[in-house]
Amino acid sequence: MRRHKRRALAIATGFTLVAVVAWQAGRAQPRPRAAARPSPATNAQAYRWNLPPGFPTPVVPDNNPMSEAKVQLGRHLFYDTRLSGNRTFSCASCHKQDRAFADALPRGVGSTGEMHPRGSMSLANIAYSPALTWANPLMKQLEQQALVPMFGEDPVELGLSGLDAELLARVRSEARYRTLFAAAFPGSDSAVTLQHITQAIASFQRTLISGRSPYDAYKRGVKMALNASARRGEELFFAEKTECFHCHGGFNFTGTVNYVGKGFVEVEFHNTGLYNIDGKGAYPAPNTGIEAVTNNPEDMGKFKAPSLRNIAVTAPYMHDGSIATLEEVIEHYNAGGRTIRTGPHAGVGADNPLKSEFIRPMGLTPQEKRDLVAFLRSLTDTTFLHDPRFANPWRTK
Amino acid sequence: MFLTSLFTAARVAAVLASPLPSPAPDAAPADSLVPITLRFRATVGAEAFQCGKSYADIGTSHAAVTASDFRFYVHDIRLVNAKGDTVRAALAPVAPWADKDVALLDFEDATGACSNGTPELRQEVSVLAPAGTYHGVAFALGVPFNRNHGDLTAQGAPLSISRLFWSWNAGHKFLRIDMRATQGDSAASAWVVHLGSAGCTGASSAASAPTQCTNANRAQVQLANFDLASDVVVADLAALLARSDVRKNQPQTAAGCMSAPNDVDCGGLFASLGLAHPSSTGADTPRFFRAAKASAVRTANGSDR
Repeated sequence: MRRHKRRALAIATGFTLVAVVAWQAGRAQPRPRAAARPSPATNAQAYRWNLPPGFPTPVVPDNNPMSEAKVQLGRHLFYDTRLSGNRTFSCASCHKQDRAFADALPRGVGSTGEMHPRGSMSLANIAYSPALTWANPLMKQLEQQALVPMFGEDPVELGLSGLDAELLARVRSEARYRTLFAAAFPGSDSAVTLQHITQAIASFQRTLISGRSPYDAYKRGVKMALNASARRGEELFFAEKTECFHCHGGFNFTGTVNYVGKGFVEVEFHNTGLYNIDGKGAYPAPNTGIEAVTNNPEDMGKFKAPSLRNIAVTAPYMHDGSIATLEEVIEHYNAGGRTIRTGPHAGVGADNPLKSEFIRPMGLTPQEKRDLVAFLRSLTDTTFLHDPRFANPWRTK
Repeated sequence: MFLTSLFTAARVAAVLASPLPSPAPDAAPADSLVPITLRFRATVGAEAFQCGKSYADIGTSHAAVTASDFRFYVHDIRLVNAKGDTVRAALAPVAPWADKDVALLDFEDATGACSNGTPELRQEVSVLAPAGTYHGVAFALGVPFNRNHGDLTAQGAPLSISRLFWSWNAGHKFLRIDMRATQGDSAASAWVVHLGSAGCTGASSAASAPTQCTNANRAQVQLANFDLASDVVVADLAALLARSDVRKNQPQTAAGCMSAPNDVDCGGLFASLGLAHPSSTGADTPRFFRAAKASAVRTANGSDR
């Protein structure tokens, strides 16, 4: 089979592959936002992405090329409660389509009722994100990251730790999966394995691409798509007065981005002065940012700047859901950091010594604040929120 | 199984960069190697470890604990010969317990409180070493670096156990002992020991595994005066917890110790393993591993396996 040949080649020429990948990554891309035309050398070229205008091609791991069959399998798995220990939760329990694949809770709640320290992140455009979660630089690939919600125990999310054999048995017992696995992993590869499960889920997640908001229409020349307030908000967003774009720039409104031909993988984590409980920059445990992973004190309070696409439907905000509305988020940044006057988290975030240099008082007028919020609301892609391709496939039959 | 998995380019590079499976420089030619069995026992003080059994007088607060897991990985086995020289002993691959790099010891049998475990037990490590008389043994607790950070979904045994995945640190738990400890009000709450490499960072490229860990946490164990025929390596939970208060947990940290440098609950455990930690309870902390005569150590079921 063709697939087997390709794999044998991959093993035999491992070093060559590394070189090819490096070469591809280093190729010049004339305009970062230019529509990436499939080139014969990219592994993504066989798959039809149906990308929004101007969107580049996502990077896909060499050992998990995209296919429609894999996406369909992944979609079934994503919505399947067999993927939790007690059969009550699926990936979609915390990543809901109408919330841009985030949820409405301040912090996630897992299948056993345990609360996650941080909020569920939106999966919109996750294919473009080389760092996947709020505060773990080690989480770089969806195939790998899926193991944390599946098997993690601190906190328990899906609660599958120690149940890997049972998970595979449950999946094998579903008739519909026989067809889906055979189509997604043809030939002798069609086995129900943990690797195939995470590969298929990752393939589905990579299709969750959102780029058809009013703002996108406006950028394509449909001037009426944004009202005057949102247009003023856009100008402010990209102005030095607010510096928003430094951390939320680019087509996906985040500095942590990668795509085919980008050349440089960018991963950023920032301390935004949300807390300062000891005057030395401390954030309340266990949400100390990437410090909790790197053990580097300089990393205290550093979190990923999430994409702002669909931000209006993913309230409440920040890694711990501690800000309820977009208006209050603007107030936090306008003040150059949040001040908490009383309680265990009291402190002046604006004085956080580890704060990003771009977080500083803005002096926004009330109208300017309203304009910024109007702009942020223009990033909601209602097509994406209701796209039947991303909906629960178990409900439709 | 391992070779048939789909490799990423980074993974192939990592495998090719790892040491070739050639004999260590100080090893004898393969035809003169003999199989040697290194026996382990899990105890709680003088008692054999058993899933779900309650053990009294544990730690500084004399708590009662009931454990629901007890497993660890070892690698880099060495033997000390009559001349006092250290000789590398090659791991003998024994599916599913050991491959050429790493071996799993498993003292839980999936009964009772250990229901998320595996029924099979493993209380020995098989190695190949030059024939001779040995008086000491040494090994490293954990998974070697070049095997610790691969694709968790593509691992063969013994690294394929999801309970020992440490996904958020892109590696494996080296030692896992889960417990519930009685509290002041007699309720029991979780207190776990999850040892593994922490503070791991990597290159920024899309798929790369960690390239270094500030806290590798691979404990080096050396046992002198060890007779392979009559002695066993004892892993004693009571000794591991001797300087820990399992009725308390530092607020806003993992229940027990998940290897965080800022978790004071790790101090006694790390000292017991000979590992550095900011809250270490010092060099006189009783050690988790010790040598003992096999005849003096009770086993839960009297069997070796």
